Amino acid sequence: MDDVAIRLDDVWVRYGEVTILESIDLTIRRRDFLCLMGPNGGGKTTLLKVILGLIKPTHGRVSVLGDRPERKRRFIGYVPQISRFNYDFPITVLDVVLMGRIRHAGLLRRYSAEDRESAYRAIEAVDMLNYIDKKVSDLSGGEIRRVLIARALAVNPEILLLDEPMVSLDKSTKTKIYELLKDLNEDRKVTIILVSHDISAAPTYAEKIAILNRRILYYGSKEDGWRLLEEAYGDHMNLAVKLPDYRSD
Amino acid sequence: MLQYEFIRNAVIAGLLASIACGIIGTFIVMKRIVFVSGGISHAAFGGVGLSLLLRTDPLLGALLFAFLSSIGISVMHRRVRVTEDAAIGILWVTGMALGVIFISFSSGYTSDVFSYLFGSIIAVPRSDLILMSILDIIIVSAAYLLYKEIVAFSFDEEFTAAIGVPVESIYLIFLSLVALTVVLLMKIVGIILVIAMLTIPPTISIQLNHNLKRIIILSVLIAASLITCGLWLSILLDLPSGATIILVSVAALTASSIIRRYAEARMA
Repeated sequence: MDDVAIRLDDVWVRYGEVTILESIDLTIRRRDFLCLMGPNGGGKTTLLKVILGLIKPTHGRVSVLGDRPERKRRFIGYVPQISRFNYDFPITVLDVVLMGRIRHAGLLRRYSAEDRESAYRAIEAVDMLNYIDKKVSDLSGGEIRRVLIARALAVNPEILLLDEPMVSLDKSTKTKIYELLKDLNEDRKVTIILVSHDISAAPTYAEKIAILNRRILYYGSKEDGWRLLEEAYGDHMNLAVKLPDYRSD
Repeated sequence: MLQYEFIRNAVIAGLLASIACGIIGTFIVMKRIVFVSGGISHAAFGGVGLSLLLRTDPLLGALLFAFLSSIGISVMHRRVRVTEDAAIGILWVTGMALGVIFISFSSGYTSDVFSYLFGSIIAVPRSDLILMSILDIIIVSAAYLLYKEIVAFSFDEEFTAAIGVPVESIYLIFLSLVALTVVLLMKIVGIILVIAMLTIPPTISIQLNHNLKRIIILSVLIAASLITCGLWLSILLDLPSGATIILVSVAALTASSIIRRYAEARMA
């Protein structure tokens, strides 16, 4: 029991007549690196928000690190999709990343030297030190994504949830961030759930794949998952993506 | 001019109001909840009406109604997200309608009503100055203590919630500060024109500055000069003070927008 990071038990999310998630059973162990895939509108973001406790399931139970999600939020780093926040806000890269330390700093207090140090380290990890005093509104989409990843890292999380963090990043940055996630997963034992459309690279780094389209269609090892995707898409798969390396093993 | 006590009081009232409206107004503009603050200020009119009926201080009635409406809005924010906009509109008109009904029962106070709708900075008694100072102290200390939470909430509400900051409480506290600010400003420009003073100084300040703390401080200074300047003009030309302050502010905003455009064109 102790090594379970996240457990979802017959979780449903409905908005009126529309069912977004249907009977989700999912057990994610500590140190898992899961790549969550599936079509747009398949409920991937909703599932992350259920794990964060931001969306209450219509039915079913969610537990995170053995407790209700709301009680474990300080252990979770979250990288949201880029589209939803206030771009015009006059705020620097450092101040955004410091938000990851807001719980560590505590209510009614200023950020400490230690908070600043964590923020610097996180910014360094995503290679943005040169931008530290730049305004967020002056950054490109890819740069903002790296800032958001740094903010989640600054939390010093036990669980990291990333909602399509790689879109519009160039290839070398992508590789760097994948390697970073891999290191966090292996060395710091961080549990990772990565939502991604990047079927060429993401499964190379992840250990497990889940395919979600309202229901969990598949959850297991990436090799079997890949076979399933291949069967589903047939020859089109080869046209659509470059197959990942492990297929040649 | 300052030798007259009522003018001295008016200037002090203007300065006290600028502190609140510069700080809170900046966040209102940043978080894009101008309409929410409009709802709170108009709902406060119900309280003014009730106070006139009960013959108590209208500022207290306004404070009560503004508070209640900020609680109402923050609850709606959590429960029925989709219709928040419409709900604020309903709150807005309900407050006004209640005010009118209450006032209709309390005949003989109609000239007072005009001053709460459109402001009467000239008629600020010393007791109101004390109340305004207390409200300012509350607003400044709350904004100082909760600065990082309010900034995080304004920038990215979802992440702030996800990391475990009690955003609903922060929002409720922030709307309560809006309520206090509305009551502070009510004396100066009146309920109908409150939105202008909450939005124009920060908007000018944002045009001139990129650092949030500096934007806030500059907003306070801009609000103070606009109110003082409007007040002086209104006395000089014998015009209604609230409306004159607003027109001076709009003129300043227009000038600052034109200058900024010109500066950008020269830089390019």
